[in-house]
Amino acid sequence: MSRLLALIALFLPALALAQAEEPKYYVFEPSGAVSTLGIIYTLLMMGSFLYVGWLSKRRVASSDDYFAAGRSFGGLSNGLAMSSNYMSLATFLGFTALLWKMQYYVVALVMSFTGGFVLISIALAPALRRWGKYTSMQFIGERFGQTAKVVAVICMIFLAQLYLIGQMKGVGNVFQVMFHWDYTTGLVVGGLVVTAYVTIGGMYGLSYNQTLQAIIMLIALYVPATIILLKLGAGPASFFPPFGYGELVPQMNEVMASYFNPFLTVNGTVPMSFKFYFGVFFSIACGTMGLPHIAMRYFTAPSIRDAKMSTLWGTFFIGLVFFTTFAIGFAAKLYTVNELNAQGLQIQPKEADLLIVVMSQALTPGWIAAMPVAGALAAGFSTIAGLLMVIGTGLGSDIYSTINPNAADQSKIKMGYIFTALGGLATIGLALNPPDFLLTSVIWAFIVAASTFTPVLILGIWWKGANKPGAIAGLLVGGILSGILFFSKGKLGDFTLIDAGPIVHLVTGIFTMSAAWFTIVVISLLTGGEKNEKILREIDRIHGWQNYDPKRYSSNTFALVTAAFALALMVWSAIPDPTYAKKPEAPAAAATAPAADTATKAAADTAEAVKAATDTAADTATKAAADTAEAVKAATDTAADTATKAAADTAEAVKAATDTAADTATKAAADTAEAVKAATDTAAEAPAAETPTTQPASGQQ
Amino acid sequence: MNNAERMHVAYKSQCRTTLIAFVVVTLMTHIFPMYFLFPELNKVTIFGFPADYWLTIVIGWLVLIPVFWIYIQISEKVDQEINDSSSGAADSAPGGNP
Repeated sequence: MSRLLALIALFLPALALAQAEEPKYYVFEPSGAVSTLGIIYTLLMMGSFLYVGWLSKRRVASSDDYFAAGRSFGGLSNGLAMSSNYMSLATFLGFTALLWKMQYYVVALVMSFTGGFVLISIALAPALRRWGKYTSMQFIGERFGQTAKVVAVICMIFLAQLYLIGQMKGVGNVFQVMFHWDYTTGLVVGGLVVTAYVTIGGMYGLSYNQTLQAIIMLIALYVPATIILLKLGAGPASFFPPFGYGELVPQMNEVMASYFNPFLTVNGTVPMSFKFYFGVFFSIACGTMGLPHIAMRYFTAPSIRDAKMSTLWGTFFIGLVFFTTFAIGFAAKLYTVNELNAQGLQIQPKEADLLIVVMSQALTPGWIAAMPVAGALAAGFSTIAGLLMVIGTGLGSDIYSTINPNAADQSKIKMGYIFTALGGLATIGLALNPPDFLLTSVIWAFIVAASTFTPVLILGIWWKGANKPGAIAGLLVGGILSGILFFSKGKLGDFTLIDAGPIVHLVTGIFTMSAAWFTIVVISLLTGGEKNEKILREIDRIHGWQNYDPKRYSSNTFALVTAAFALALMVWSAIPDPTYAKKPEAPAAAATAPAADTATKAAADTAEAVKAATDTAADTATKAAADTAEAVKAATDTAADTATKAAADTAEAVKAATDTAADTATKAAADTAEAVKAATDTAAEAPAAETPTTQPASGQQ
Repeated sequence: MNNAERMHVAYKSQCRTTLIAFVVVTLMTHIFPMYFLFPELNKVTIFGFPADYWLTIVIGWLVLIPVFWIYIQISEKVDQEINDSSSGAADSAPGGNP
């Protein structure tokens, strides 16, 4: 402990100097070769997509062809299409940036994405495929009635727009940064191309293009990643980037000891707790299960087995891309610390999104460095296209056939054309002036899906007791709750459910999904359950039965037990968690104090907080770790640009302060992290009987 | 075993297989509590990586693929049994089998 205090005291002057100087930021400028080749790749790619869409039009003869690609996509090709449909611009560029900012923390999110993708195939896809329609909304309509379908389509449009605007904006930004196009021009060109090929080619065009886009994404990520790792000295393992950077781990531990610590992020501002990880499952994995554009791909498979095999292939390709982005994120972190920070430069959040291109430009030949640009656009296009197809099918087929039940097949196809095109144009329009909440909008799309589609689909397939009033009430409760929490940033009137930053909003998924589930079960039971024998027979059929037995899938005990569990989860998620407790504002005097004083005080607060965490015994290692992280956060909140941030942010802030103190300060930061870890261990080993004083003695709580 | 019993067994198998697969996949891809339960894993390395980091990715991706393949084989057999046992079988009356 005394070692930690001595180190902090020793480097206070350097830390104070860091605050006194304006930080210099790295500004990415694409080289001529990357920009030119990037434009060539992009134009070739967009031309190919349009050509494939136009060729696919010839295959569209019926609504089955337009909305479900003739149910002819199975195995490998559908697996590739599924993976590119699922992985968006946010995956391709965003994961690297998230890793750069949050490190280990992102692993939890990504594993949940993978899990959710597989869970659809287990719990929902076989039954949906046997039902034989085009979308989840159609299933809801036939299972629970037309009103439920209309509510489901409204929920779908809401979540699709949350998802789409971010993707469209990303496409516009890539054009702007890489090719120096005006944002609006890039957005309109990219948006029109994707809208055109989906509208023209329907599900056939979408499927062929998504298969092609998956291949482009894999090559555009894998090849640069391999070369980057080789250049950084990762050795032969570089040829399999997902696990190709083991050789570089000691180097990372040297410059940033906190990188592989699951309880800390770069600046310690995102608190960790068991509840958070629970929220990840409910929001991400359960949200994935409910995403209509993911479920829609299962309708294109020729058989149930093909649908499952597609998932198998999709899981492999998704993992390959996800964990290759991990390798690039790791390499980017090492590169920024070793190269850019050494030059006194820091990375801005905006530049962090482009780290893969930054790394490629610095370490690979121009013709390879331009690949990630094309890969990122392919990723954006594939997800936008999938969502536009859902909108086109939802309005063109689902809603139109409700209004006009006797509509001819060709009329449905025409409506599909019209609504897909209108969906694309509307999204371009919305993305012209994107709202502020874009950073979190994709996360909220998952929460909305988890709170609306997922409970209705699971209960609709696996419980005969679920009925129309229950489904409508559940959709409304889940949709309205998640909508209110989205716009109010986690508040229900005066009651704050969650107030701890955008990522921690994932915890709200526990509350909203449980509320929807509980509502469906209770309302269905109160209104007597499903009585329509035609529907009950269909439920047996979609599970593969040739005959009907009213006792199958009808256990009210199952429903009641899950409803009780959902109620318990709602209460648990709403109980204020000390990990997320909002800290009071720092005294005004502290905010205006000279930089050196502020740094000194904050460092002292940090030391006190760490000391408190050490001296007081926690019941468990979990509690001790949470307390330590909270203490670090408290000090950070007190003075935004203080020594605490510098200590947690390891080498970056310290190196920016002064060249002379750089090496030593980096070591100090690493030692600090080690000392914090040691404090955690000490606390974990302390007798449980001792009083657990949970508040850090920083005086800021 | 008569046909009604076969259908009952197949029904139970389908529910059990789905539930077990759901739980297994969920656990394999959400082993984060490991960080809280076994913090010492962070100090052990596998192929250069901290053990908990490496295990999280390997179990949640590479091990998941063969596990899911096994699920596909089992669920196909259950589906086949459901189809075979219920083909041509009469509907059950309310209160009848199973």
